[in-house]
Amino acid sequence: MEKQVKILAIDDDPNIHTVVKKIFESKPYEVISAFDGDEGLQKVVEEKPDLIILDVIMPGKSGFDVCRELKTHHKYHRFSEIPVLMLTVYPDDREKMHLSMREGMTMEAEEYLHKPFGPDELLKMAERLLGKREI
Amino acid sequence: MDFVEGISRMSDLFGGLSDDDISKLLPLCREKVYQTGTVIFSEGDPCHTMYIVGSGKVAVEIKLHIGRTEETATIDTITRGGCLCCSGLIDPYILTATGRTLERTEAITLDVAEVRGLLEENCEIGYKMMGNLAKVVSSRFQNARETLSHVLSLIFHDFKAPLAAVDSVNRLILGGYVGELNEEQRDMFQSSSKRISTLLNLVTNVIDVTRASAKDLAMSTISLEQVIMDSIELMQPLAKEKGLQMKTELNHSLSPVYGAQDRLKQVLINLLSNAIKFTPSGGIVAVKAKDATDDIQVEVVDTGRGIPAEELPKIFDDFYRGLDLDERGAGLGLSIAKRIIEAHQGKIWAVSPCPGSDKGSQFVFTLPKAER
Repeated sequence: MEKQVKILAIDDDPNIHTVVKKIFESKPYEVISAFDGDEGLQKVVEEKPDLIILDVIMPGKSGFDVCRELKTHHKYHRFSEIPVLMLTVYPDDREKMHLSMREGMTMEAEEYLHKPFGPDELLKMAERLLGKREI
Repeated sequence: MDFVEGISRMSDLFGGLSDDDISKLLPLCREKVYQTGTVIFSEGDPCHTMYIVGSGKVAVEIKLHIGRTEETATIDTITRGGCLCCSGLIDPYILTATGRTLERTEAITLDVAEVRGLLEENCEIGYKMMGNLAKVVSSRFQNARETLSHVLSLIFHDFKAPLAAVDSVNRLILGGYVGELNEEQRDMFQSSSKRISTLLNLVTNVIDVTRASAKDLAMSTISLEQVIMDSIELMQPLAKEKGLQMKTELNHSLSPVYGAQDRLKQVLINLLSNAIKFTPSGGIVAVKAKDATDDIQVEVVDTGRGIPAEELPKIFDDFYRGLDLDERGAGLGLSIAKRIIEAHQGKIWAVSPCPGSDKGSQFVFTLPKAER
């Protein structure tokens, strides 16, 4: 049997988890949920997902913090190549990430999607990232 | 007395006072030490004591009533030389904020009744101190405004996040991901989605207004030509749908500008969507850009019905919706555009009818060239 693709969703909003689960479970994907940054990072290590869907504004660690830790901290170096799809509410977030990257950090997420999003948008973006990973 | 005298001399409240003036105030000063986290005074209480911070840090907090919850916002942090409780000099002598020490703080305290007594007898000192006081109050007021604007953007984020979640759920249902819908159900979900989108747009616009100051914008050296082409590409379908022709006149060697790409795109999209909205079928909407001496000038021109002279001065105001009530919107598009352009040190204005024509409107903005 083919290995099932694992997607880790990190978001404090249970509605977003419902949406993400419904969208991906219509395909042969397994969705794992984490409700804050620390739980998310822990599940990255335990579950080794193929894709991370990450919210920006959460209580505790923000999505930026999580992404930065994942991409730069030696603790996660085996996982730093996992593509990250960021869900943002502010249109500026992407620009801010780009600027931080120029300041010498390799913390940029691979893709950004604005909330609210349509199911097809998310699916297409996620599959493009997963496709890149297989090559 | 050295500590007290040293602090008094650098206090913002006692600036400009002579040695003689200070020597009259010194006998009223007492030294006091507060541990971290102490509430020194509370909003709403009568003000009996004034403070001048000698060392440490005091947060000035105000209470905000948001719905049924009460939040605290820090409007200023006072350090060495800064004064607190100026309300003691202003009728009705009630504290307008709470002071909380952020670290161990040494302060000079002054009894308000004694200070007022001294000022009544020494009008010269009173005059100088009131001048200093006006400066302190004005700077606190400015800080309070900035804080409120920040708080507003946080509140609206709290509105936007659940709305966005509900809208995503609606789209999921409409996309057939949770089973097929019958026609009635589809109609109902579609109309509820539409209402939510309207609300989301309003909330997004309010957030944009509060986040349009220079420090909120992520700036870099960018090509304006790219911004213009992207915006046109985005608006082209809307123009086509309305039977409008879109034109561009770009000078292809436009100098780069230092700016926030997405926000400048937002300015152009706002201007273009207005132009499209107010131009009848068969008309033309054009974007022109050229290098001037120190800046780049961009124009959005249309052949639409133009803007009545009495409305022109008001169109960039917050929530101004125009006299035509058929064209509904939050009335924030142009005020967001103005704030974004001004945060870039640029200017924006409108002319109607278009120069050399008897109809249409021309919106112009300038952006300083990036330093090479």
